[in-house]
Amino acid sequence: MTLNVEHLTGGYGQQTVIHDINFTIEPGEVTALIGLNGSGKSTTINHLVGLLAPMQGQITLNGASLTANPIQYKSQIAYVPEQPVLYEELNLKEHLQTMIDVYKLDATTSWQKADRLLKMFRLDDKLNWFPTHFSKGMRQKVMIVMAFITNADLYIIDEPFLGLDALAVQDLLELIDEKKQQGAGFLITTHVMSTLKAHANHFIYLENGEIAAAGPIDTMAGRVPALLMGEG
Amino acid sequence: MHTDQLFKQRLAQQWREFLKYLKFIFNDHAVIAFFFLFGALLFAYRQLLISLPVTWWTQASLGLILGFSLAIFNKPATFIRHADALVFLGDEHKLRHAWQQAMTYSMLFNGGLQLIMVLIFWPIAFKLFAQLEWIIIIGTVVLVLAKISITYMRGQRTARFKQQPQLMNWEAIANAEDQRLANIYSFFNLFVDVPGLASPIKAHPYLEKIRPSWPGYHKLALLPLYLTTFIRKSQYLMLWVRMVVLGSLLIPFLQGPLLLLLLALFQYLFVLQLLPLVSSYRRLAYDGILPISLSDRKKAFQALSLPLLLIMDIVWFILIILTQPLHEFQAIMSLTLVMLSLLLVFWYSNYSINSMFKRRTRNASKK
Repeated sequence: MTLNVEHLTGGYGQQTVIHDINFTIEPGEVTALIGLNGSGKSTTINHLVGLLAPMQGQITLNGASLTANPIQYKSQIAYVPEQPVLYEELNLKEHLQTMIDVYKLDATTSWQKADRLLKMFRLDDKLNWFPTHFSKGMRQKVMIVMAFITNADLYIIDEPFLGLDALAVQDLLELIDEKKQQGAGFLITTHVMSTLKAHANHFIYLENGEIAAAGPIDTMAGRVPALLMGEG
Repeated sequence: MHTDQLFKQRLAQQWREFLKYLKFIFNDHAVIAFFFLFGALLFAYRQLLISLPVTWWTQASLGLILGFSLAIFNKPATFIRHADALVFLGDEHKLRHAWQQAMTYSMLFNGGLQLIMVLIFWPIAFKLFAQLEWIIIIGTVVLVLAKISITYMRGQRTARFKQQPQLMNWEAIANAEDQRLANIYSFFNLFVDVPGLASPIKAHPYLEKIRPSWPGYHKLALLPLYLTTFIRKSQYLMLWVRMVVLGSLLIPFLQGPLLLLLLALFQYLFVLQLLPLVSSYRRLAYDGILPISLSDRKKAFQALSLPLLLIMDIVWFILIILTQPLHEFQAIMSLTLVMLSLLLVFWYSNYSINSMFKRRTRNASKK
């Protein structure tokens, strides 16, 4: 699995938000995209999942280009957005079944995985609940379970630690490590690096839509505001 | 999930939802209004057909009306939801297929609606263009094909990114679908309460300038809130505009008790749909702790609704004077409408607000 982002420039409509972004994610690698509010993290992610079209540049995943072969490109990705989006008329069980159907997963294995994840996130007794009864944190957990039952090559997670309780953050980090061991790649955005310090291989610091610094954690000190490093 | 299943599921789900609201509409008071309105329209159409002169301007007017009909009901239904872009990352082909099926359905549906609209005008067309039957039939086919093409083009324009047309803009498609449904639910909301309907909020600077001159604006604590909501929330402002326009359209073609009955019905429907404004703030936690009595709420609603109903009466009265021969019944009709306005504002709304707040208090104590 290799994600290649080359000279990506993009934004909303005519407004350019990110400029000339370049990076690569190799198999089994966790890359953290960090930056202050409005630095372009979510815009970058929206381009990577195809919710926005690049103005310039190339995005390829395992050789499949987002623009030339969007269906093959997207089929290798699982995405957890910052704001959970669920079908209001489907309960939790039906959401998981939809993922199994869409990603053409083996039902038995997937439900075994789902059972474990549901227990981990304390959702196992809520299979018949509808989204309207879930808190923001619970919706976030539902989206995490939905993403992690797939066998995606690349997991894109936008601000995963906002709204999650301390236990769930720990469980999610364990899951990330587990999938990482199996060869999946991760792109995770966050405001604070400290949570991901022990788990991410690379950090990319965005400022005003441009990469201001990139590299392993030990090269970032002094190049990134101390508060973002979690040292403030 | 079979490839066709998604479209079929969403289509069935939409019609189930629409039928639920249609059932409420036709079970309610509105069925009486529709009955009279339909009868009045048929009568008016017959009168028009008899009296319509065959001149170049009536022919041009018909052409304009038919041309204008292309501008309505031309949005495609896509049934695409915001969650689809995420969930169907694993197999976007399925989502694209469902979108294509929805586009085909929309082109046929809108084309069918166009055919019905044109057929309604056929009697007039055959009168105005006698001896040109074939032209009328060909024109009908052209209009239907034009509607199908417009629907297709609108769908394509929304669905593709300009700079990367091979990529689907699922966010834009889902937003357009939200907007389409909001328009339909706004119509249902004229007759029944549609839960969760988010009416668009739009500032109208020219209308907002008249707020300080509204009677009672500086005296009644809640009136500025009610009046501003009325002006900025399309749901309420458009309701008033719609009722004034519908009444005005009937006046040139109808007279006597039938016209009075229909205008009275419009006034009643207006007050009935404006009343939820009083309770709409109850969901806000601080509404309960405001030092406002029920009587203050009623006075503010009365101060809002009375001028609106009286302006409605004045507009209709002027149109009656302008379009109908003078008769004493017109004076009686105008006085009756003013009396009805007063009754709706001071008796009916009073009673409704009382029961609205009593019911909510009783339900709250059960929880």
